[in-house]
Amino acid sequence: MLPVGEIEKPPAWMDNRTGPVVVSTRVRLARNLHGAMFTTVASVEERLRVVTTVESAASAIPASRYSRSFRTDVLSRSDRQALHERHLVPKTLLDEDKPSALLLSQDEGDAIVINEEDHVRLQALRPGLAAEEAWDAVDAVDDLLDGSVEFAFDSELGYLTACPTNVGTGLRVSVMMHLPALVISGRFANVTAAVIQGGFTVRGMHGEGSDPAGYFFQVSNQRTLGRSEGHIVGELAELVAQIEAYETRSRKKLMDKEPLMLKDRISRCRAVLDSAAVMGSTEAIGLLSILRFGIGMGLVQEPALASLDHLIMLVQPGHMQTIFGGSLSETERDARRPELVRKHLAAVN
Amino acid sequence: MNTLKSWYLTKHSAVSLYNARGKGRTVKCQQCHQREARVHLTEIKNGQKQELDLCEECASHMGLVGTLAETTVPEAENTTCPICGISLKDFVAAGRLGCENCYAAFRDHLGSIFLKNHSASTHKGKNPARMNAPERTRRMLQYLHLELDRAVAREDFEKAASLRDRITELETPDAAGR
Ligand SMILES: [Zn+2]
Ligand SMILES: [Zn+2]
Repeated sequence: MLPVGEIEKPPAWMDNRTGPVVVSTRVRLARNLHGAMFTTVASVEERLRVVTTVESAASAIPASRYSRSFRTDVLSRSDRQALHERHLVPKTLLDEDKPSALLLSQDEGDAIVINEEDHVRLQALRPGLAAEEAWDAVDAVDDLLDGSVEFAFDSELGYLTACPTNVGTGLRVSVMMHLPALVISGRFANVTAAVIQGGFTVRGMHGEGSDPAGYFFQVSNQRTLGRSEGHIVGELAELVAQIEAYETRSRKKLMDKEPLMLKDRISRCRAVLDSAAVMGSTEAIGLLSILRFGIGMGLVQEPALASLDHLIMLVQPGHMQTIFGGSLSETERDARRPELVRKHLAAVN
Repeated sequence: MNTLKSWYLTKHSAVSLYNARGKGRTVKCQQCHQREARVHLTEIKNGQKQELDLCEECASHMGLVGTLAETTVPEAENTTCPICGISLKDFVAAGRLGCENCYAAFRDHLGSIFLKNHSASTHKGKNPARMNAPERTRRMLQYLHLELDRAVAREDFEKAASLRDRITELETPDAAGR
């Protein structure tokens, strides 16, 4: 597991390239080993074999960026939760007790998840809109692994995945967006409609099946078959740019029409952050999200966006457990959270 | 509300969209009972189908719009993959295949999923190195030409030039056997 000191620090890939509307980009590439059962039915021995094969193939990569590796199935539930909150492992690994692993670069920007839904998931996380850059990163690792392992591939269908919704390229590009103005002004439904019409999907902060907490949304491609990787990456980047422009216009309109309402909302939220004695995780994310909005609008000066995004990570349950060492109850976490928030906000001011 | 939420947001649920005008029928959202339902939710639980109609707004509040294409299937003959032992029923219930061979074993059923989810049925992306050389070259060229069209369309001439170089290199006769 990441040492506690590191859990408290922001992942190094999260830098000031993060934007007021486009937060970060994640690309993942799904692959399975030819000749091995998919994880759906694989035995423990088979899963172990997959872990060993992929680990040794990855360590043979010249100048490999994956300097750390963890067996996620032996981690505590809260450690896994913290990794999930850092966007490193998917929700499905939280309850997985059969052999599975995570290979991780020092800055946490590059990862290989082993034995989740598919044997191999190559992942790249980058700040802001960086779909091309993140795709290039996983593409290069895929080429390198391809030299030493044989991936399941069909000449008609492309790369074969456990879920047929990922078949073909196995590529999923997701962009995390912060869209408070579109939601507040009631225009968000237009985004949903456009996203779906274009063959894309929009989900909550932590992907499939998660709540849309704090106006954060993930926009990603749904189609993985019938188009090239470059095509998928390019189309999604275009869609994101359009949504970004729409959000920016809505922010201007709100500021022109209802400046007082906006200022009031932001200072009230600041007041709660400054004085609350008990704060739930969802509530904290909601408040910090409005503060983020205020920073983006120029109504609040501090902290920097990347530092605030780090705080949004810290207030989540897995991080709280790890930082405060051990088994806090939900009530205890809620009581400690305001102190954590104020310490962080004071430190960066 | 909370119980509803956890009910929807499982891997096993499927979401599809009504063609609102096409079918000439309107259904009210079962959550807000106000707006027109545009999203149709299907969950298969222990072989039982449960359905729900939602408007886009309510669906997006639940964070589930477009999570999966429609995957409901008629209760067909229950074929089984000879390699991994997964049955079509298992697949329909869990949405996951057991091995590479399942793609051949459930071919007929998967075809409609490909069309619904991807609007396509053949791969146009990158290929692994193990493919035989002429086939790989042919596919690589197809891929590079697609990329070239895209680069030209967005006026990225630097990228287009480097793609053209790679195409020329692959098209020279002695390169095909490499
Ligand atoms: Zn509704
Ligand atoms: Zn099978």
